[in-house]
Amino acid sequence: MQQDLFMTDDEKRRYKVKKVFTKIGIYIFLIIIALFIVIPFYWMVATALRSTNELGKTSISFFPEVWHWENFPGAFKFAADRNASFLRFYLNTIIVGAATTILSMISVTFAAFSFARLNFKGRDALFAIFIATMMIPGEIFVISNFSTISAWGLNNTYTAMVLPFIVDVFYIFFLRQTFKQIPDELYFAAKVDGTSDFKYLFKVMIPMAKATLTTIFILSMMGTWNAYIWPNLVATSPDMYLVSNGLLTIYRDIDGTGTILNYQMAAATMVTVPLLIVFLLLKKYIMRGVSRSGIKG
Amino acid sequence: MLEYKNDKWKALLALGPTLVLMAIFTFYPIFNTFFTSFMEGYTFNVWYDTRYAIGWLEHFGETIVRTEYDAAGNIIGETSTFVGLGIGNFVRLFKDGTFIKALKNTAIIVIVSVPISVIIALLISVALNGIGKLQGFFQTVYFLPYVTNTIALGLVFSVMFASRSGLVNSLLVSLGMEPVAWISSLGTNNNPTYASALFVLTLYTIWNGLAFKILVFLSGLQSIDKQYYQAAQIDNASRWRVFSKVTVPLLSPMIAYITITSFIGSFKTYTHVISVFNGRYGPASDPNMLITVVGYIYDALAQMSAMGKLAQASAAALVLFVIILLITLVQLWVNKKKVHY
Amino acid sequence: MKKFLSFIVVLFITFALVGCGGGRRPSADYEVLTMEELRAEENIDITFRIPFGDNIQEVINDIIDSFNEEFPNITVNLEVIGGYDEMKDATIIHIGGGKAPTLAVGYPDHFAEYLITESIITLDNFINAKDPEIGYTEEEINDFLPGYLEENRQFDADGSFVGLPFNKSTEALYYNKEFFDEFELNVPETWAEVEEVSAEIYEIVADIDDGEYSFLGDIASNLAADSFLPMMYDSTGNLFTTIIHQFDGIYTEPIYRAGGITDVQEGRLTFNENAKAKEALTYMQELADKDYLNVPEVWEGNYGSNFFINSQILMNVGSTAGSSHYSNSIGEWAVAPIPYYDADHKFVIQQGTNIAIFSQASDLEKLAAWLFIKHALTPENTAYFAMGTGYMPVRASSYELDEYVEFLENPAPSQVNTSKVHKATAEYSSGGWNYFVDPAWAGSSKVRAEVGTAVTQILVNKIDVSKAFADAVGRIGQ
Repeated sequence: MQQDLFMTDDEKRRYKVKKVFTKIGIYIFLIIIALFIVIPFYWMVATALRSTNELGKTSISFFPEVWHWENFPGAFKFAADRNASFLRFYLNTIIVGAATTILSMISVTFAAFSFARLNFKGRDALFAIFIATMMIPGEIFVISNFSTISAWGLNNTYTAMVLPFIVDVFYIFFLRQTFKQIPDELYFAAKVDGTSDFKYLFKVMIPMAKATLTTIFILSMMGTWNAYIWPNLVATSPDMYLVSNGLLTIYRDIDGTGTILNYQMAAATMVTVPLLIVFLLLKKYIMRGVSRSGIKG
Repeated sequence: MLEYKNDKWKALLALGPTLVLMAIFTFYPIFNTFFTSFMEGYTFNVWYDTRYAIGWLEHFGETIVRTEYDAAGNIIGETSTFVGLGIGNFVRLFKDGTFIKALKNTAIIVIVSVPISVIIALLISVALNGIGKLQGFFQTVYFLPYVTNTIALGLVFSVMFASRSGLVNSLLVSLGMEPVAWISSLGTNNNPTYASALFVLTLYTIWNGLAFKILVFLSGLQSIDKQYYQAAQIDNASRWRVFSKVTVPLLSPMIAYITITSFIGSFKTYTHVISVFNGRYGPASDPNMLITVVGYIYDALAQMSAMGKLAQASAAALVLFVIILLITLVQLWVNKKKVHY
Repeated sequence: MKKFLSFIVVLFITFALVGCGGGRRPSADYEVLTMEELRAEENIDITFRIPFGDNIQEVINDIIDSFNEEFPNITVNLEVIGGYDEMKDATIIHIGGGKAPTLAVGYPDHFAEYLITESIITLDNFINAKDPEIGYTEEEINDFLPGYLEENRQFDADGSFVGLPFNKSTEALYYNKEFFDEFELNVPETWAEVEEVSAEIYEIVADIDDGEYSFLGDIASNLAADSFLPMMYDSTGNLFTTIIHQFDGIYTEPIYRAGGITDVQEGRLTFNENAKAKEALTYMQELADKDYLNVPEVWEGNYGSNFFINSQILMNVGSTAGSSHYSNSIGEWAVAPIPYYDADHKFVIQQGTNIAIFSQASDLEKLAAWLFIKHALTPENTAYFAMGTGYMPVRASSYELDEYVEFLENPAPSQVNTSKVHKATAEYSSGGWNYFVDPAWAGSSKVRAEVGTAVTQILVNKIDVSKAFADAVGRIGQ
């Protein structure tokens, strides 16, 4: 270590001790927060494992009394009895999610590129307008967009569930920030080599923004996973439902007379598993540092 | 630095499809909303008279007076409606006590929850970034609330903060303290206070938003060139100096992004409130205690077909928009001064 | 800048065009075509819109199949959209775009909303048609339960039908039969009897240990933890309206416009100035004060059935459509009519939806839709529907059908629960009960939500009744 060069043995020892304590402190901090963070997830699984009788009790214990693992297949069977195939819901969500995410990433990348790297009249004003659109609550858009979609006869189609969500200013803004962090020197160096702007985008900018792009990918998929209001309006037959619709409507009675909570939570848990897997597979792309091999000194 | 360029055509190519989609699904609805907020006496989709409602186009510019009768045929009242374009909806809006309450609540929620959640997320991210080995494990754990079903999240809070034998109250009692009416009554005259309800709501909001913020900060932190840290190490800089002079400035684009979007998002708080309070904006003793502007808009939209409700929702959305715009402009100006790319 | 301005102008024109284009002059007039014309048509496509919910879809498909046996040239396309409110919102927007379905179910306030734009037709032309295949005889119309019809005829002075009942439910008293049998108690029929039996219940359970009786569960612990009540009332909103009617009070009243038209956008709140309404809720507050009765919110719950299955309560007034939630009860349960206050005011609520035909459909489609309604509402079919879903048959003669009587006496295993419920509700159509009708207008469901909150405030927070009423009016307000 560099420190070896100019520290006494005593100082070295004290430094090491300080380092260990700081690290322990950080770990404790993280563990405490982690415990808080995990409670909702634990509760979801615990609720799924409880019996209906136990759920009715006014004072609920922290751990389920009996672990009713059969609630998981039970939830599936309950849905199947009602002609609602969870497999179908998964499939729909994956199709819609994949389509939305891929198309979204394409449009977001080009848009962020325009705002970060290109220069044209009104660029900053347009960007400000884009950000301004984030300030209108989503509920306002629903009526108008639903009207538009119906007018085009796109009800109950995958297109209807994908189209309005391809553009997401949230992600354009995010990626633009990342793009702007790429040093101008790299750009000029590339220009000297005769690289066109778009080639620069593909060869340099996108690889350098991998962490952000992966994050956007995950978040976009999650958006579809949690989407409820829009698919609920647009789908006119249950075989077009997405996973969130299925979750909420199946275990809730038509008259609103009650929700079968443990089945609903069991289904909810099973819904989150694929998402976790996706996250686990992709997170190394977020973690891997970006090497700036372009600049030497 | 790019001022010499003129990339008009490239930009058109790159931004074109996005702009087209936005024109249809974003600008058009916003324009609709803007226009509708100035339409007085408008009932959704009623342009011409029906048996039951006043047509907007048909009576444009008129003031319609209609008499109200009761079952026996006695006159019990008269309504006067102006049909046309005007600012009447805004006037009505600001005269509405519920809307003023919503404005106040929204402001408080924003001021209280955004700074706290951003700072906590930043601290966690930096801590996470510093530990080598278990980083992946902690990352996954911190990501869990994001994949947890929102109903489950709301459930946890309602159980944790239940007045009768909720987890938190049980803890308080075992420590020898009095149970608190957090989000529902504990008994006659022991109703939740504004403070306790706000506390639970803020906790829920922070809980909810952490995963995303950590994800963004982490990806930003990972992109910071190690060179800078090595340079700081050579200078034997303290942890705090490293944090404030290296990390924060280099992370400032992300901090700016998170701060701006968190403020905007916080102004639009709605689902969090109804999740905590089971469909209302407060405990049974005061169901509109924490009503927010978007909550007000949503309630008006739910009554869309009643005369003037849609216009009222649009007017409220417009007011909200202006407020958020002003705040964001201030932030963008700060941005220009403090954010380093 | 110029480009931006021209963009705005384009948007404005587009909007104006869409606005005007969609704004046709509405009309709910139609002509009743002949059966020959209908039969001659090769294929008629109609859409029937329902919300998503348990087994209702399957039973409806059966009814569609039997319909097609008589009318193979009519295709009934089932559209299923989310919950009732999502379905209504979607339909309202579709109407604006000219894409309304042919048929839909809905609550009275949904129909009020559709009426604003004259988007549903009045069915009188069909009902009064001379052709017996199309029209209803007077006998047939009177066969429908009167309360159900009244709900559909409230929108003008002539009592025109805007719909017919489809899936109706009501409330009933679920009680712990084993307990009542064991201790030889009578199931209460009036609120006075509720008070009597509640006092007796407290005396009985005072000395019982946990687990002593299988049908009482942990009764001692529950009592000690303040988690026991003799009776609960599931729905706060229903409690409000039902008890007011039972006390001869007035909840809301319609507003009328010139020409005997009911105002479908606004109504009058009268409960806050009605002495009997106040009396009714004060009485309920007294019952709560004595710990005889309360609502699930008192234990921070939503459904009484959750507490019933653990015997934390021994009686629950709940929806007749929710019988499946009592399956896990530790005590065998049975059903009785809800308590009433005095014999002249045996009022019970009607819930559930009616079915309507939309005016945008062609006259041929309207006739086809009408024939479907007629088919679905024959005494046999409405009984079939009821037996399969747990909703109520809408025709009095259904109760006399063999298969229905059999269902009440000897239900198939999958129908045991609903059978129990129906046995009790048979009382409502023959025992001098009235399904009361409250005025409906666009947004009247909001009134219900707010008075429900008022009930929670009155029974759980013990707020003064007048104040709770005033607060509710304030929240409903503008």
